[in-house]
Amino acid sequence: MAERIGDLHDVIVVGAGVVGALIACRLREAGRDVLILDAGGTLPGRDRLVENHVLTARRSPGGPYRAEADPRAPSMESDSSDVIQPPGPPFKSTYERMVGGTTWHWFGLTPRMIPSDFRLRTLYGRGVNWPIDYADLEPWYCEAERELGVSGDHAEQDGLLGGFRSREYPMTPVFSSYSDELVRSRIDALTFEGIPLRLVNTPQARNSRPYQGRPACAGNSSCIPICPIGAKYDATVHIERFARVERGRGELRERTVVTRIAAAEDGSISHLEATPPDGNPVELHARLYVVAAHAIETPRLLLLSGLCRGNTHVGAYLMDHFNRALVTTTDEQTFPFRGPPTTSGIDALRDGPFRRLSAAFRVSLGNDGGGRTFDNARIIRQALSEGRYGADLRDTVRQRATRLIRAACLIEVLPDPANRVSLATDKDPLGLPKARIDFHVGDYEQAGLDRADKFLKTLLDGIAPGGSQTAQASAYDGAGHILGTTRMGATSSDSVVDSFGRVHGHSNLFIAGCSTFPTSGTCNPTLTAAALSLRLADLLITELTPAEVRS
Amino acid sequence: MNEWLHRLANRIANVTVEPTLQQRQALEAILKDPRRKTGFEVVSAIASTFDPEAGGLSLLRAQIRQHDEAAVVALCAALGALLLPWPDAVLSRRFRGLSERLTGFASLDDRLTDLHLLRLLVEPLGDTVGAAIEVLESAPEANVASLLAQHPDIKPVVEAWVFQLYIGDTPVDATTVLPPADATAHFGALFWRAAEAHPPMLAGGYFGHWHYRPED
Repeated sequence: MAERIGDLHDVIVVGAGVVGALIACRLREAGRDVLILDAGGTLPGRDRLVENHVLTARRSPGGPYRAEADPRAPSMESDSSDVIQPPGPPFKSTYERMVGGTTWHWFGLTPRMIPSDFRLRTLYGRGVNWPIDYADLEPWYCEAERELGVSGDHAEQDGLLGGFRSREYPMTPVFSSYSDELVRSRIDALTFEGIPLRLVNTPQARNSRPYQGRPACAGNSSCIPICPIGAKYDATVHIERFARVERGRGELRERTVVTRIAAAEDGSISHLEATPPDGNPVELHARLYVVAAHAIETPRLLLLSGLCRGNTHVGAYLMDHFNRALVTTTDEQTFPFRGPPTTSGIDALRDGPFRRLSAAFRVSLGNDGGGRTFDNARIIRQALSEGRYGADLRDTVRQRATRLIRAACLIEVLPDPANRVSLATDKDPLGLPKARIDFHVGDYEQAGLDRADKFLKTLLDGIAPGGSQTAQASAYDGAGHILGTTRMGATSSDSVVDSFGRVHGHSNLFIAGCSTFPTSGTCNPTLTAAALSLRLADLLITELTPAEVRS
Repeated sequence: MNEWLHRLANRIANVTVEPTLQQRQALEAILKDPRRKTGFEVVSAIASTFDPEAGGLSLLRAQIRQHDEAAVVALCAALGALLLPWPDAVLSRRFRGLSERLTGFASLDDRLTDLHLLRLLVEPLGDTVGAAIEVLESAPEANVASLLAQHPDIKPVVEAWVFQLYIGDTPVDATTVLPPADATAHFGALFWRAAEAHPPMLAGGYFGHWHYRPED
């Protein structure tokens, strides 16, 4: 029998990632009583995470964090993951269950979605429209850029693909890489399918000057898996701020796994059931509940709780962005491996009539050598296989390692009801069904992948004629952008939540984050998730304000 | 445990060394580190069930390789802590000199090359390190590739040696690469010097330096 403890909070937020942290912070700053729950714990110092990464054989984005995960909230990369997939094309992105969430190892790139992304059905007969448009979100984009600390070029981004901007970025752009300047000097004459190509500085939540107590980027070149100095935003910024707010009440309970959302007869949520570190279940009560547990755990929790009965959209429309990359050598030195892994991109192919037939994509220019396409060890192995030693070896490595350019496409994925999260028969360490992911690559996405390959070859042939090119071995990589599964819409006939995140049929339950995206667009989703979260927080503050005060 | 590791370290390095109190404390800290729990458990199991004096190093290495990477990391870290400073100055100097010849980089760091030597010795190719040193020193002016063609038995360990110095990781066969036992090996990898860059996670300098050509 669960034990009931504690007070009636104004709001309980499930998940201490960027979305949950932003909402909790805003609410507490408005004087509210907020409890945050997270299945994972607070991580140790960044120096230890750096060492974790170095001393592991699997240097993946989640590498430094596997050893720190709570056994009851295992990393998706671990053997004990609470996510399983049947044989078939895999879903390749992962997430973290810990305080700070997946922002610990996000890229930090913060382009906005473009107006067309919100109206895909109307414009191109694909996917669905969002119940809001770009103009609805624009003020919240500005606010999210201020909260996260985004460095960008206002003039360059204002009006880009129809996306107007009403405020300057809080910081000037992160300097482009030496390599970008070489590309810029050679790209002017290039077109793809008649579309002129232009290099654009990428907005990013990475400080170009000291900002809100964090330092400017020093070019540690390790944004994934970790920024060792905190120049890149991660959600610990708002978790720490939440703890410092002197208004309202606030508490973070870590290593507390929410196991069920309990609803009353009328559909309103009565309490949460959770298992804290001591293993003794508790009931937790609030006026409003916000689930911000990413796009796999969130639908899993709804399904575990038996909520939204009969709504087939729960767990459906799982999306990501596919990643395809090509690396070339050039005739001039580009000196990669210094600074942020990417500082510029090409946005021209994010929209166009071609979206009726094939997925759109954004292109980023890499500043990280072979990136994920090949590692540095390959350069050494190749030189050794050629019998090179001593100065010959050193000079060969220098010659090959300093002349690399990598380009990658971030390819749109459409919502497909067959791509989904459901409950598996296998159980997790708490005896709860694990999440099961079913996923396949559709024709639209395959056409986008094929087109991306053609584009990458055109681009690198143009920039580095005669260069030695290496394509990524896998058909696609995940981008770490887990989207969909509790999408927003008008009613339960087409969605799980409304445009603010309120769950249809459960008036005091809200879902926040990437799981509410109806379509994926072509950009990194964190800024959009942050903007939606701030918009939701504003609504929650209003709802918690007595009507007489509001009037 | 300490005594056992001490004997093992002596056997591997073929020297006699009495660990100082500081070294013993460093060893204990490593073994008690919760991140090394798996490795600690595995090393404990090996220690309680296997006597390296009786079975020889090859059997011990086989035992280690049956377990996970953490076992190797923990054992190597423990040995590294136990043996610092490197006891055999002569071997250390010979290894460092040949490392400079093989990699093309002069003035390699003493501690870094000692770590790499220790790591090579405890891995399966370690049995051929001595032979490789002898062959390379026998022809100081020879082209290394030609020398390896005449002595194919030492080619794998020489390639692993160079790979380790350039990347920091240790290749143990065609498909397996083990992480370093000490972060120094990763951050000191020569690849970054060759690429005129800096190891990821170490500050590269002032904001925006990546916009410019590296300074000479």
